[in-house]
Amino acid sequence: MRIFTSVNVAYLDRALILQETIKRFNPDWIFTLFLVDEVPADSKVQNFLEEFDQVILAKDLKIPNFEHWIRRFSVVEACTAIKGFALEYTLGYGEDAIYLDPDIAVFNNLDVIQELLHTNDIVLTPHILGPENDQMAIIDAEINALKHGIFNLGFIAVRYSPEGLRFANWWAWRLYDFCIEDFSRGLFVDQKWIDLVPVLFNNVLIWKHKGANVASWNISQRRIICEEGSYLVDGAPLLFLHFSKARSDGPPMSMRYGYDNIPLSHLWRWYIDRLNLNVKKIPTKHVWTYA
Amino acid sequence: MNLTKKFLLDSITRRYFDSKFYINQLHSVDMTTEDPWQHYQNVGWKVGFSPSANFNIDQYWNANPDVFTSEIEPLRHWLKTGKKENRQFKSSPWENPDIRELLSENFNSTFYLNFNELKFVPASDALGHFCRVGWRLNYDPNPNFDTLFYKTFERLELELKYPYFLHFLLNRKNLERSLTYPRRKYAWDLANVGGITPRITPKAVYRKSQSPTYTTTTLNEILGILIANNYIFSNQSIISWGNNNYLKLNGGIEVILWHELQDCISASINHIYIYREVVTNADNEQELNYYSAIINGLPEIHLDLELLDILLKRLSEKSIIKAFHLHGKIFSEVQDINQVSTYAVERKYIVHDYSFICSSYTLLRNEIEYCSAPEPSSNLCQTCIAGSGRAQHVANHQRLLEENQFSVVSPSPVAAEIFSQTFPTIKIKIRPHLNFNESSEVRSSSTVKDKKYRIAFTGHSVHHKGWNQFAEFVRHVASRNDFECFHLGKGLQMNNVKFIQIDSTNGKSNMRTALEENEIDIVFQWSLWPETFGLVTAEAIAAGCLVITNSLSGNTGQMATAHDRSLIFDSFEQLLQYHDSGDLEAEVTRRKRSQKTNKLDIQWNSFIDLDDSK
Repeated sequence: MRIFTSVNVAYLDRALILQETIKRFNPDWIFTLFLVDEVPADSKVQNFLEEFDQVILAKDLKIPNFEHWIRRFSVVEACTAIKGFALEYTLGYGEDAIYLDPDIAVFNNLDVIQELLHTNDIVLTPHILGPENDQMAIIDAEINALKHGIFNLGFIAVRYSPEGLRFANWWAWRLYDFCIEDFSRGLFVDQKWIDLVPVLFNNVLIWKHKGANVASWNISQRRIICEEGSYLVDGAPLLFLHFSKARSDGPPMSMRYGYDNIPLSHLWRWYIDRLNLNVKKIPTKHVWTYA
Repeated sequence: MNLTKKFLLDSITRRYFDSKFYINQLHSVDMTTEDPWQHYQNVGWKVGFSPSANFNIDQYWNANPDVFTSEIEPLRHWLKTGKKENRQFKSSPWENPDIRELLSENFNSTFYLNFNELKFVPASDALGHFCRVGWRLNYDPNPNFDTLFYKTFERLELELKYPYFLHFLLNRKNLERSLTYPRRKYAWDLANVGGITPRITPKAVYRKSQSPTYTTTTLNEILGILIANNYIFSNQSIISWGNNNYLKLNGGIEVILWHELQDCISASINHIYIYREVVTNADNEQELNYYSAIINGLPEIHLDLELLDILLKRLSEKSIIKAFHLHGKIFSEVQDINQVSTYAVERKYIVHDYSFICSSYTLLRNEIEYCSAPEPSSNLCQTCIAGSGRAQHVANHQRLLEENQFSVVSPSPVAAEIFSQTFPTIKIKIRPHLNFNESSEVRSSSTVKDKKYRIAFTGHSVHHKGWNQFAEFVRHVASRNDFECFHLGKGLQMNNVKFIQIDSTNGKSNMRTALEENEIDIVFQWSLWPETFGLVTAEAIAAGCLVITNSLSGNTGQMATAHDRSLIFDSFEQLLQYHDSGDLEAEVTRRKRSQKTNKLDIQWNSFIDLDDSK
């Protein structure tokens, strides 16, 4: 199994937490970091990159007209725009692949995903799993999902199979042309395209595991508890949690809907602390290469 | 504006001012000595008091937000420009009857008046006061709603033109998932999570240029002066190792160090106390260990390890270094302790906290709740801010104890048990720091007429000592107004709590005196972790107070129970229920009648020979 993420230098601090937490439970899986940036001359960054299993520069993905193409995007768009090509590249090793956003941390063995890929070609996690009951939550959760995409692309798992490769190729080229945020045309970077996947491709699993991709947008419908040293989400093991917007609205948004959830408090405190430790290892001022 | 125009405008504005109407609004202010007009000019309009029945400030502000933000007195604004511009008055949406009813249903008048100390406001006008003035001053409407917290929690950066409490009622309470009020004790941490401060225990940080390190010459000069003036005894010495200057700080460990010093001086034994000061090299940010030594209670001298070594060599030539007492937490100075402790014949580690088990020395996981020190490899430890490197931390401390043949002394069974769970092979002896004797003094009856029972938080108002729970308790009891609340110690202050600063430097405990002088009946010691000792609890017991605590508070609960002074609860909610049912008040009365609250004397055990079995 191969697992990968896509970042610029500013998000390396998060990506390292992702790799560390994956390795804690699945030490044999190979983690690939796709860096949408040039490697700075700063030795601190170079030392930091040494800590990853494998680092591939986005410019080495052989994307046509890369230097010109990548500069069309904002940094967020660029990091998502290469995801399709990165997926193709990863599947090229002849193994199944999982993409996780860099601001995710893993809290359990992910073998269950490998098992799902025995019988499915594509595995997706929806933003929300059930209907909301009140106006504010309908706006925050359901309307947001209609706007930004049904599925959260912080996670996708793809089998090394003809269908998986067909999907990766389709996605790569859609993102090559249309990885932008243009709500008037129904586009939202890499994510909105995935609404079409259950229709356009076969063997797609909409995975409704409560412990997968827990995040501020679904925490109101999931309750984390800590039992005998393990984190459980409505009885299911917590697999991975999306610490979205850790430096801005993430903690308050999570706590707005899960404010009396003590295990969630623990996890956020731990994550921010780990982030603070990593930040010390890399320079804070780095201008994105493709700005 | 020239002076004539200003005078004219003042006079006109004053004509519109109705003193009688104005005074009627001000239940909370003593207006017998103050001119209402001056009060309105200086304070009143800013907090929303209207100048007359015909000019409602709220309505003017609501219709004209630019005036609200301009900081111009509204009546003056209307007279000068608003009238010409045909500015309107608009009722605030929150003034409609349905909204008032919603507020009324969730408003607690008794709490509001007591907690916010509004002595002049009649109960019938409490809600009116809140609507007119109180909400602007961040007064809280009921025990469960903390306005300032809510503003921070919800990140309401814009000033609302209506009560934040109403914002909560309209926006959050309608949500099915949010029927309860925000729970501060957990959510505070999260609301501020982005700004977590470094977890390392406070340390003295100096820049290199400011580091007053002595030279060999100055050290020799100092030693010469000390010896010539008989400040150094020639018989025996004890080296004591801690974290802070005990002559300047006043925590529990510092009081014990002061007693250790007194015991040494009484027995003509040198007391050489050493603590680390981290010096950060300004050029490369590298941290270096420097040390300060306090010899027989004299002012500290600043040394590096080399000079410290010279000092101890000189002393060992002159006297036998009987023991090395390790009192503090250890950071990066393990090697230095290895080196220094070899000068002593025997080595003792005195347990004051759980810093050998984890760098979070209270064992509060993520600084939130007690963790019981699980395996370092466990999921719980791996998702704690102190978890990474804990396995190494434990191994380093184990090696220090074993290689230097430290014996371990715990002041309580509970601390010994927790220590032994992590270090099962290290022998540990239980030896209390103090004992209690029957006192000849009897607690005198109160001099205060119709005195309510008094409850006090003692010590520093920090999270792990249960300050947040005390704050919740104060808010809760304000609804019944059946207890008077005090904070004896240092740190934060809050409404409806009488604060008395206590300074205990030089080992003198003023806490006991303060408890007695203020006729405190109950001490609130809701430690969130198992206290190893609990000095403030000992002082409360000696002063004849009952101790409210929880079943996780370690020696706090055990010491109070041993002297029949404890009220122990399994949860904070249980304590609140106990109070609400009237049982708390009844139990205090019962204990007082049965003479269970007499005074006791504290007898400190010697800190020289920690093997004696007193």
